[in-house]
Amino acid sequence: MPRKTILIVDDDAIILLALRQELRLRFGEAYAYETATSGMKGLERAAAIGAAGDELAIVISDWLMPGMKGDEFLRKVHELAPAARLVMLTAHADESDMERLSRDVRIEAFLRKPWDPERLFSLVSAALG
Amino acid sequence: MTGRVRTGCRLALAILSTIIFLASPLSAEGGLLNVLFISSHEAGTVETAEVISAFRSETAAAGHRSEVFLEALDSLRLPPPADGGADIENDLAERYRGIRFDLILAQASQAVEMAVRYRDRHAPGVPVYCFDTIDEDLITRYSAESSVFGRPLGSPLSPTLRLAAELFPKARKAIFLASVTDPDYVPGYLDALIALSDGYPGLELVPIINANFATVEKTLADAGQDAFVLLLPGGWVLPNGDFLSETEMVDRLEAEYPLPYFGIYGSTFGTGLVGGCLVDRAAMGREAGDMALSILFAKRKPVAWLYSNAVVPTLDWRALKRFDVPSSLIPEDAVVKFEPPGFWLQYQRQLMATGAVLLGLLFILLVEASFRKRKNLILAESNEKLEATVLARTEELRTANAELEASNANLEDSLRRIEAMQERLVSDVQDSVLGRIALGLAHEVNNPLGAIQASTSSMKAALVDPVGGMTSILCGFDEGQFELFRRGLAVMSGKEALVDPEETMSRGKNLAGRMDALGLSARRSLADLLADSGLAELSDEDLRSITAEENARVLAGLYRAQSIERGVAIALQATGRIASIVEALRSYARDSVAGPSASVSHIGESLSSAVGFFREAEFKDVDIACEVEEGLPEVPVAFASLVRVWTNLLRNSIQAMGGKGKIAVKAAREDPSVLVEVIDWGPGVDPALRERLFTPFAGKTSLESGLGLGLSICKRIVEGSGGSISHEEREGRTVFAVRLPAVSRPAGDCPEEAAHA
Repeated sequence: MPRKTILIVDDDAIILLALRQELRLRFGEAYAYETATSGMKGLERAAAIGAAGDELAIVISDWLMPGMKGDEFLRKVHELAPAARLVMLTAHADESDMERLSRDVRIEAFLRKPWDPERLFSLVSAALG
Repeated sequence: MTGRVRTGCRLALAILSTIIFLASPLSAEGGLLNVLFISSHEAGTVETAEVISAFRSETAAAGHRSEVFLEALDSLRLPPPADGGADIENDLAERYRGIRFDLILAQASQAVEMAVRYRDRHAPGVPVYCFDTIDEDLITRYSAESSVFGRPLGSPLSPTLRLAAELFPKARKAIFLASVTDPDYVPGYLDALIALSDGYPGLELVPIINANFATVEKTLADAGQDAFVLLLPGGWVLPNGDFLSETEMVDRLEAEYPLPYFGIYGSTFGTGLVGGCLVDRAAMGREAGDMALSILFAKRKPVAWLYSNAVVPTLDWRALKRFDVPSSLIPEDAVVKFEPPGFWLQYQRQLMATGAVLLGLLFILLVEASFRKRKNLILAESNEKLEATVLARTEELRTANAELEASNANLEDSLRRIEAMQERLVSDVQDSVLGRIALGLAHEVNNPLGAIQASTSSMKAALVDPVGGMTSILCGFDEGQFELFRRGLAVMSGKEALVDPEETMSRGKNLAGRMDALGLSARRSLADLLADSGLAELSDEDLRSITAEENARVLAGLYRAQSIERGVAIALQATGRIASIVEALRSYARDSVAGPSASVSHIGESLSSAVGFFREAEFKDVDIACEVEEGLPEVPVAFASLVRVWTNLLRNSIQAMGGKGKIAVKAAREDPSVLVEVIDWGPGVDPALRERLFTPFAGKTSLESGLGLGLSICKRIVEGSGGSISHEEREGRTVFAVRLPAVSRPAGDCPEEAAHA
């Protein structure tokens, strides 16, 4: 049975650890949890997930990253896995960029750091069910 | 004077010199002839001087130089020596002993006799050349001699008589005045005269020979007007014994008896003589020279004894005027001397020279004048052109000025607008800088905040959740599960709680492999969970146990335990990060306010201090080599700030190189500044960041303590002190260059430092 996978992408490892832990404690083994520290690595992971036959259910990405920015990454990952739900998790909001992104791809939510855990959980639950 | 005028002068001078050179006698080269010249005439007179000069020229023209030894026998004239001149002969012999003569010249009768005698006795074989004598006996005697040659003079008696008769055709009497000094000659002259006078029928010959002076005077008085006087040279002896030369004679007589006097050998002029037959001594000298050459060098000996025609009828112009002689009566072959135009002839050479000089000067002046004229013309032309040009330029300048003023006004206007814009820009920039700072700040602080929030909330869930919380899980353990739990905790403890997610993933893969090997159902998510729980090093037995279905609670509990530990670690790290960001901001704010420091610092000391920070164990893999030039000047930066700049740059390099590698620090003078370079061989700065490298929060943070402010702090400090900071990648090296203004003459030098532990 293909595992539903949550992919978290952020160049700051502390976010990856905290977020993964938070989600795992909440959702247990209902999901597989994958992480990546850059947009490029995120795309690699997304491809690997698809190749392994698993389902990329949710992608949570930071925006300000060296190299590929979050919005570019989400656009690209959407091409790879159009069914995945996309969440932008960002410390600051560049309104215009976010607006443009929304017009190109469907973003489930724009979460600010620090994020509200309940909101996050409800997003993920919805993706499950 | 212009160069051309100078050339004209030179030309004139050249012409002058040529004329003078041509006019002067040539000097001859060739053989030397020793010639003994015995003369009856006085030495130094025209009789001897002209002869010698002409002789020399003649022989020189043939290439022979002649050394002429003159023996003038003055004394022979009056009276002849009693002993026949034997004394004189001995004197000669004495004087010229040892000299071998090539030729002996003898001028006039007595000299001829003396010369032949001397030759026969003292210079045998030497040829003798005789000239300037009319003594027929002498001629007869010696013409038979061998080696005696002659050119006697034709008698001037006939030509003189003819000259006088032609000038004074109305004369009835020809008075013949003869000297007493040579009585032997007189009869001959008389006979000759008588014979001659047959040719002049209307003329009565009146001889006065050896008469006393009274007789002379009486004869002259009786002669009346229509007479002329012919004088033989030789002088008279007056009754009182006084001797009168013919010159003195004429002076005495002509005052009282103003008749025309003619000298038969008219040798002296200016004496009142109208004229006479002058012996052309120069001609005689030339003939002598010519004969000498023939005698000495000709293959055939010349025919000896030829009569010379060297007499020239010569007249005194002033005397002619006195006697009112019409010029039509003057014979064509007569030489008229002392003519005023003759003056010009006499000074011909000098006048030619003067003329040449004057011509030259004239030429020069003309040339100069023409050049000046041309120059003036050119000047005038240039002046005109200049004036025209000046006018044109002035006009141009005026219009240019007007344009300038207009553009000036424009510029001022633009300047004012620019200033206004600048003010707006500055505030905009400030806003954007603040904006960027705020953005960066938000990012830097919100990440740790997010992590803290997430971890604390999950810790809470991990602990006290009524269903999934650890407390409830623990309560449900049996003993075996407790043991397994404790063993799991043991494996977990002491390990780093914050593990890189990548690392966790690879551990998960390994565990899956192990589980596979152990024949356990290798569910990936289980392996991941185990890895995430820090249970990668669980023993095989425990691994088997824990993967059993019934022990799922144990694994859940262990994961929660790990989560709590991890949560704490996350929170601690995150808060630390926030604290350092605040600190960085505080010091950034402090440094951005400070301007150039009143204090000055020593570059070398500050570098040593900075490098010293990196001697800690954590930087053991970092090799910092410091090279400081001697005698560096100080810089206007506070010491602590300067150290901060170096430490920030060094930290930046160390981070870029991943904590190990080589860094070179070089400090040198780069007038008027000091240049400090921090060079590393790391991966270099991300091209995307290069533009904003020195702006706050330009770089993203990673797991390590990154501030993102370090470089902007450096920039603030450096630029605040009037310096500059720059970055470039060259030849595989990353170079940060700091330039600081030099302040004073340095004191002392800096030690070289290489810091590594």
